Amino acid sequence: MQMITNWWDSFLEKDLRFQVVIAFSVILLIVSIALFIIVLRLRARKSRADRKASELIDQIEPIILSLIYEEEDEVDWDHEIVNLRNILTFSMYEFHSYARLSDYLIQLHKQLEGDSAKKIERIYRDLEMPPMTLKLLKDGKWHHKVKAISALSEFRIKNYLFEVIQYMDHPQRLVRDEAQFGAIVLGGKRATGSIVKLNYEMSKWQQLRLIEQCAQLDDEIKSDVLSWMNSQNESLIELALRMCIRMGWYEAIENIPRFISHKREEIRLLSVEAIGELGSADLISELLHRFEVESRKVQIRTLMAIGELDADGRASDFLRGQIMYADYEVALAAAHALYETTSDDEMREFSARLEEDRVVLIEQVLYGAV
Amino acid sequence: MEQFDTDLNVGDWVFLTLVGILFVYTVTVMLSYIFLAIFSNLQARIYIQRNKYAKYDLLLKSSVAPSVSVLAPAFNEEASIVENIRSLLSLKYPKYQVVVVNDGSKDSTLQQCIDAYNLEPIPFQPTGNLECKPIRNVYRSKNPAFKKLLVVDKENGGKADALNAGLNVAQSPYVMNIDVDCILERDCLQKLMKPFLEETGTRVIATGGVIRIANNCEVEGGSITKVRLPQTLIGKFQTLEYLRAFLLGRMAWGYLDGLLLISGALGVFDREIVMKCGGYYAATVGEDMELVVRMRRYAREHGIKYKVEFIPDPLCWTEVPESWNVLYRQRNRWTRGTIETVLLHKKLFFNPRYGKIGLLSFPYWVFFEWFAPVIEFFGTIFFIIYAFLGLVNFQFFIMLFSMVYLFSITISMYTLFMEDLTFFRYRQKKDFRRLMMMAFIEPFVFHPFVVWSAVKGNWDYFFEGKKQWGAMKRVGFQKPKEEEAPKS
Repeated sequence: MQMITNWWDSFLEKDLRFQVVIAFSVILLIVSIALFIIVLRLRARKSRADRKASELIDQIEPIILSLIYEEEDEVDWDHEIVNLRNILTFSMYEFHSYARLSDYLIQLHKQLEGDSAKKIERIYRDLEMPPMTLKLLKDGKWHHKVKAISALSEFRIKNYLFEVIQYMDHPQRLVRDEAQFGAIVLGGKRATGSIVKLNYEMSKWQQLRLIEQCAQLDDEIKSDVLSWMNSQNESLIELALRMCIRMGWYEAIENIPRFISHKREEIRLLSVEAIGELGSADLISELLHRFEVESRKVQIRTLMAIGELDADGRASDFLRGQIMYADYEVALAAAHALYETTSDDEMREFSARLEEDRVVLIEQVLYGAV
Repeated sequence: MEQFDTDLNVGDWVFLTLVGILFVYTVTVMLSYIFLAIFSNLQARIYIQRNKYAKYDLLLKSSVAPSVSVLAPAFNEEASIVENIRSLLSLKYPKYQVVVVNDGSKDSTLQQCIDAYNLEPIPFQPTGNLECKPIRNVYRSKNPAFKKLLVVDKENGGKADALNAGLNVAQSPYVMNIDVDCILERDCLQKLMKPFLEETGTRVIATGGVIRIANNCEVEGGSITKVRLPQTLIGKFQTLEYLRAFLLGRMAWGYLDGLLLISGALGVFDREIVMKCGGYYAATVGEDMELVVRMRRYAREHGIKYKVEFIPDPLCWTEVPESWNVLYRQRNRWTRGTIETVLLHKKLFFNPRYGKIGLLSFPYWVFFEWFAPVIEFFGTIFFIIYAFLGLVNFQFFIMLFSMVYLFSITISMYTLFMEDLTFFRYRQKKDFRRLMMMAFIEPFVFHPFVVWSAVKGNWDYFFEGKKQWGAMKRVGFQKPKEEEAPKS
């Protein structure tokens, strides 16, 4: 104590600059020591958590695998579930075993299909994990909500569909993304009907996820998807167009041409692509009408669409003009489109009339070097 | 005027003014580090929470995933080009092409590619119009298994020129620019592309990832199988330095959306914006930073609501110099690159028209990346002169020095904390101990060397007019132990 007092007195005797520097040095020393201890503890905690997780998995894995792969009667099944519960209760609080088990089951579920996957879903339910997950969904922070919805959809806990649907337009993007995906997994058509009411913009990433999931529902959701085209939410129009292209829904074509002059470039691009995939040669004139005022991206997509539609070569003069005079990127797309509608010989004959750099474009297309 | 009427002469005033400037500068540097540490922590937490449950594999099955051209410039890479291309061809992404640009190599780089991948010249008209040295030929494989590969052979013009040629040839809306000798994580494209697809209302124009050091790591089949610290002291110093740069600096600037540099070793760019702003500037040695600054400037000037994203996952592993001489040349070049970029875009300096970039990131680069080593160097000289003149209070100096030293250790400790908190790649205790040790030694050995290299870079730029790159001798990556030849 005496030493500290002496030190303090000598500190007070120093002039201000010494006091400032000494004070900062002491603070930095304390912070660096604290950080050192924190890092050591963090490393120890992570290593311990990894070890405990693997110990937990070592204990439960044989039981779970036997439940999945062996023919158990109901009595044996219940007995093993009790065993599992005992293991989990024992280490539940100390090692976050709920989360570990959930992660483990999810990982296993992703790898398996058919009866095995169904058995994992049953294990999940029999261990009474859905109510715990629901609690996490209701009370947890946003990232806990994401995790909870992800687990509910992975294990197909359909009786919680209503709870999941409520989060489909949540202000936190990741929560609503997961809820939209989860709701479609759990509710199928019942959930796609709710999508049209969404207010928040949907990212391409999310559209990509939903397309793959919606595609599994096939024609069942066609009317819902077509209704998205009338939404005020422009990202839903994008999603609907992507779905129509992905599913090859020709019935949608009558709704699509109105989008080729939409203010949003992505929608124009998709509508042109959809016309190319789903439309007929009658729509070429509409595409050509817009061509000159379009961005280069849309022009190239338009040329690709013309290539798809122009079986009788009614736009071939236009395409030849583009090959001769447009910049290389557009000219190359035009050459591709022309190639779709004419023979190799006609292409070669046409290339004889071109300048050298344009000839290379034709050769490139004939070679298929793209 | 009465308050200035003291006993101090002009020399004393000069001394006090210089001390005052140095003091204010040092405090500002320290404060900036503290803020960066806070922001990097926030960014790390947000990133981990957001991406913990991301299902990247969805992209693999998707027909909607945008295509990407991977641009890999190669100059005299005969020793490793075949393996490196094989590694690039095995990335996990549904739609991509690999464009290897042979930048007029003097060795057998091109022939190695032709032989290994059964290449033939094809008719090809590049669609881009960026200026670059003439392209001699474009090759494609006769083997459909390598249909993703395109090899461009051109006259030598430097890395930026080769990348411009690659941009002209590329046909995807996004380009990933890499150093051909880097080892990429298989899923790096999925992770780097996600931000482009995820943003709504804002256009992501570029994404960059973390570069880690591959020296002494085990590599098998083009992937890192075991992470180890480099064996040499210089390699270990750089490991700590890279961790600090990426986990603190870049991550924090990513959080603030003020990132000005995406490493040339790994970055994905929106090709349309790159082409519109003129591609790489071939007359600089710091082409990676210059491009990002120009893209940001272009987007800002054209009213594009944009973002540059940073991915904290370790996605790319590179070999760093393990000789002081090569390291000196590299740091000298980095300094010259920074100066060139700063001077080219001086219009941004404290220009409110450019928002955060003009008012925050760009001045930060000027004051703390460009000026810092120069000020440190002259501060040291200034100290030595005054010490000789007997004007230094050594007791105070030792205390001040201790404070700065402790600050440096605190920041390094914090970096190790961030590494363990996020990706925890250096799991072995001995690696952690060694990194700790580096934190203690670095301020006396490595840091002065880096400062000297940077000062010399300034000298070379302003007084020698130096422009060239300088060569890097590579020692190659470690194979797993089983594959090593038995020792006699």
